[in-house]
Amino acid sequence: MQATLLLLCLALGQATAPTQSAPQASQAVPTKAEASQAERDKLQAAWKANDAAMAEDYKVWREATQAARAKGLPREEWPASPLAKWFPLNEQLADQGQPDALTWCLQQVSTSGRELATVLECKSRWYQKLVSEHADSAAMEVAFNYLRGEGGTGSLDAKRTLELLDTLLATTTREAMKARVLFAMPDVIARANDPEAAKKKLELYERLAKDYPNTPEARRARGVLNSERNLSIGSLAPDFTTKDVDGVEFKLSDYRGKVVVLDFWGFW
Amino acid sequence: MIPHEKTLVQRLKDKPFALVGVNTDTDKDNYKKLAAQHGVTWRSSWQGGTSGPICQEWGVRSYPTIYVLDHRGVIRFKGVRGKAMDQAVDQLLAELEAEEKAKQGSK
Repeated sequence: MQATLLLLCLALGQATAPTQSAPQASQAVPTKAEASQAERDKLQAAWKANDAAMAEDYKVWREATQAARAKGLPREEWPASPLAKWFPLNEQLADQGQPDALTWCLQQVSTSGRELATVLECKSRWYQKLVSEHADSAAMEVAFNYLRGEGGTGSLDAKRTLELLDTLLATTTREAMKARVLFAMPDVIARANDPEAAKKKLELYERLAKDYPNTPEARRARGVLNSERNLSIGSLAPDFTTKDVDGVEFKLSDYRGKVVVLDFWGFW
Repeated sequence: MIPHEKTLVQRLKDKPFALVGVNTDTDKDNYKKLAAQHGVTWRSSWQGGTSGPICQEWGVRSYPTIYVLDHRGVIRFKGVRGKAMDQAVDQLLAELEAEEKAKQGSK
């Protein structure tokens, strides 16, 4: 299936190569760009069809599970999840580079029942496709939330995760995403047990604050930088004016002359 | 955490000591209810959530975060909890007392 598609793409690419310099001729023979757009549209349509059918299957499954639970059946007799049916189907689309299928597979692969080594190999390959070919897509936005959490035990190793984040930083044209990548990197570096993690964190935060100053991540980075520079042991605590829960204003410096425990906390 | 701080505040109620909170809860009514329940007598800045202005400015990313300041307002300890927090406070109170004694002696 894949090989056939690849050959098809190559054939189309070769056949249409001369028309690239003459776009007005494109009505007759599709250009390479049009051919790959058509291919992308076809994959997207296939994903949408899968997605809709899957929603139906999952709905039926959830209802059957609820019924089984209500009847008090033991867990072994609950219906099997549709994952076993859909994973291979969506994986085909993922391997052909369909971004939503890639993201779906990345989310599901850990529970697909495969060996850890296979799971990691798939993740590595699928993230690579997303960061190099779909950096500005909505699917990447979702997958980024998975990617930033990699690097720990049982997940993609920190070195590979950083490579992928580096690629994404270069490929995305969106400032918001660049800021999110820079903000996520220090946590991954820390998971790699890098002895220079603390230093690298400050460098990345400085870069973030300087290059993308209006993003929420930059604001948080500035806070961390401020805390490293002005909130070290031996420095005078920066004063603040604030209101308590009843709206009464007070200042930190009102407590000058007393020993103070300043406690950032919450009940939640 | 809260019972420990309560004990500290009670033990030092006649000393030049204050526990100042920066609270990151989101629901004021719930906060007041819980504060009454747990016997929280100390004052807190109301941030309305963990992304409140002081939390951002101070770069707080985990809770609780503790700073211990001496009577001049200088940061002397960070991240001390439990017994270590008590010891830090006692040390700074002893410094303050010694300083005041020395002042009185020189008069």
